[in-house]
Amino acid sequence: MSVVLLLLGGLTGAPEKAAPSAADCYGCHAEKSFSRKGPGGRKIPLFVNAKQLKKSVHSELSCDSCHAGITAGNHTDGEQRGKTASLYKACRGCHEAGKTVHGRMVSGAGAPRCRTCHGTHGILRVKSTQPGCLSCHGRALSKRLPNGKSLSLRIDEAALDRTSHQKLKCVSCHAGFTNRVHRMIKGVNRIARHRSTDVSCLACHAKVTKLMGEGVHQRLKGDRAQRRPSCSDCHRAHAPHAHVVSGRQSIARCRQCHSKVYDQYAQSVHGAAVLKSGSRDVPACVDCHRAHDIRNPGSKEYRSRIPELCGNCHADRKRMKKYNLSPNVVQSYLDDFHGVTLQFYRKEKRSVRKIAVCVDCHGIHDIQSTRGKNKVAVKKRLLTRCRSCHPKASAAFPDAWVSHWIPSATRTPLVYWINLFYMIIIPLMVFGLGLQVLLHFWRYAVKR
Amino acid sequence: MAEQSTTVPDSFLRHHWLRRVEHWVGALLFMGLAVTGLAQRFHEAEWSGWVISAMGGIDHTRLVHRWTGLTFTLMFMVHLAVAVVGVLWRRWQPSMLISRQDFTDAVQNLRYYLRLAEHPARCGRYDYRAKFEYWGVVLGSILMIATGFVLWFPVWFFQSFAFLPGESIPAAKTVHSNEAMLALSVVVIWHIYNSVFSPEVFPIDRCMFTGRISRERMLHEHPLEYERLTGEPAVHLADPDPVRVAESAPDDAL
Repeated sequence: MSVVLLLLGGLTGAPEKAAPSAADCYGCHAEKSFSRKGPGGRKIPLFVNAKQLKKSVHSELSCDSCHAGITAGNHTDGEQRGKTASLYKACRGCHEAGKTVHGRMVSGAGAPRCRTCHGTHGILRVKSTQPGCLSCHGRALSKRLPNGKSLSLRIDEAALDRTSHQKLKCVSCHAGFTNRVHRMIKGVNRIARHRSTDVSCLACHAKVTKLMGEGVHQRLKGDRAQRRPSCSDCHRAHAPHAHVVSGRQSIARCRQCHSKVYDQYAQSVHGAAVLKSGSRDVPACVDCHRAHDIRNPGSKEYRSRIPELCGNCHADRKRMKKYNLSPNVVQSYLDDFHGVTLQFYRKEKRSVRKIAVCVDCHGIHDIQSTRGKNKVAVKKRLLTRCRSCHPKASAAFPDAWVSHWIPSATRTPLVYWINLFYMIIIPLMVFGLGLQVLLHFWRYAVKR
Repeated sequence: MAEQSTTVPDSFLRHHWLRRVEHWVGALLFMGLAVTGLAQRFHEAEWSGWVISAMGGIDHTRLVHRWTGLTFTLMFMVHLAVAVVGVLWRRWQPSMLISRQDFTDAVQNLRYYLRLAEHPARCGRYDYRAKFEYWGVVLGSILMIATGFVLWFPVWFFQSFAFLPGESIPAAKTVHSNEAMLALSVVVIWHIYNSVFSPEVFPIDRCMFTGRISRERMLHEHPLEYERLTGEPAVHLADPDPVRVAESAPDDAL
């Protein structure tokens, strides 16, 4: 190859000051297989498609309009090659970078070059090309935020293709966006305006709209409403499996506003398991509070459903077996005095008194294991809780609650033996008296 | 025959009107307690929901149950007081006390039912069945009243009996609900049969309404009481089986 080049150089004689005509260049560059070896033996094509160039917006320009200063004889050495490589400088001769988004995007180190998007010899009029969003956002595009952080604006196209939204267009979510609108949006709300809003999600996800409408966050007003979580906070917007929200992701979002609760939760038996070992068996925020129709946890309705809420896991035999926990805790609560009262209050759709539920003894976000050293703390809390409704309760009073145990000869002998006594005596009595009745009837009515 | 019918009345007064009032007040209270209590015990059953909503909710049901229980307690205490005063001051016969004869009577009646004996047991004012039920009610009431008050006032209970373990409350609940089932099954099977469905009284024993019992029934069911009241041998005049009556005469010595 280099032999050919040298030969060409030899034919044209000494370097000339005059610019070469297009025909001069095509002498070599019209050859389809014309190429040179780059670093590491890489093949760099040097073919220029004349037909394409004719159709391009630059068809009127001569070769040296862009490849300035190159003559037939001087462009084979290293120095001149550098000129072809820094072509964007040539573009700048006519096209100023400006202070637009586009201008900033193509300036600076590591920025994409003009030709990366627009091509070279086949360059077309921008208006006729309709570049897609990904022609910019598919690249390493980022924005420096007022707080100094850098916000990546790059969208991974490959990942996007694996989402459930793969058939949607960008504007399906980023509604009303065009290149023009894009340039027009300015000011503080710039980022907010660029983001897809919940409204775009709700256009298709109508059921969730209804649920969201019932949630407590919808009632927030003013500044606080601005901090309301949006769909994409938990459901990652451009990533696959957006419907699956990991516990940690939603917890992190809740933490942004509910940091005190988070601190308690992180120390609890549930929080520690999800944050340290990523367990999926323990509840994250949304498992108890729900994701969309988040109800006021201070309401009586919410409170009255707590046993079932805990029961979602604690009555699940399979899951409880894994941790060697009793799956009967909820049923034993519901069978006892407070549980019965609670169930009737629910049927009556009213709640006159605050009936003790799971969280009153076990705690809420700071819930701890009832084993080992925690056992004492739980007992202590129990007495405090008893006294909030039974103010004169003595120290033995909490023991009236037999701690979710099904009566057994070892743990609750009194209850166990009394039960057993009646389990025997009642059938015996019924059988004995029934037999007497039958015999009496038979003797007096049938066989007089 | 003609002589006897002039000296011996056609019927006997068996229950003073105060005892009858007591019986029906007790029966009403018992039924009230049973309905409100069962609805609480079988709280998961559908009918329990109907009862409790008809009573105006669980709180109201409990209130009614407790005050009915309190009324029952008062009635029970009045009954005990009347019995003690009657026996000690008015020299009433303590005819409800259980004697050895009640056991032999029970065996004799079983033998009669199985046709191993020719005649049933000869009983006094109260037969062994009545005594069994009476003492069942007395002991059951004591248990129900005691445990009922423990469940009504658990805090007071622990303050008064600090030495008792916490398990006393669930134990009291177990006794209360099981004893109730026992009492209820005895009443439903035994008492209702004996006073309603038994061929001897069907369609109903009117004694607890009128307080009176016919001479015929007196001879049949309480021959010893008949003899005590009339001073005459309890020979059933219209008995279809005179041999049985004749044979039964020597048993009087027992």
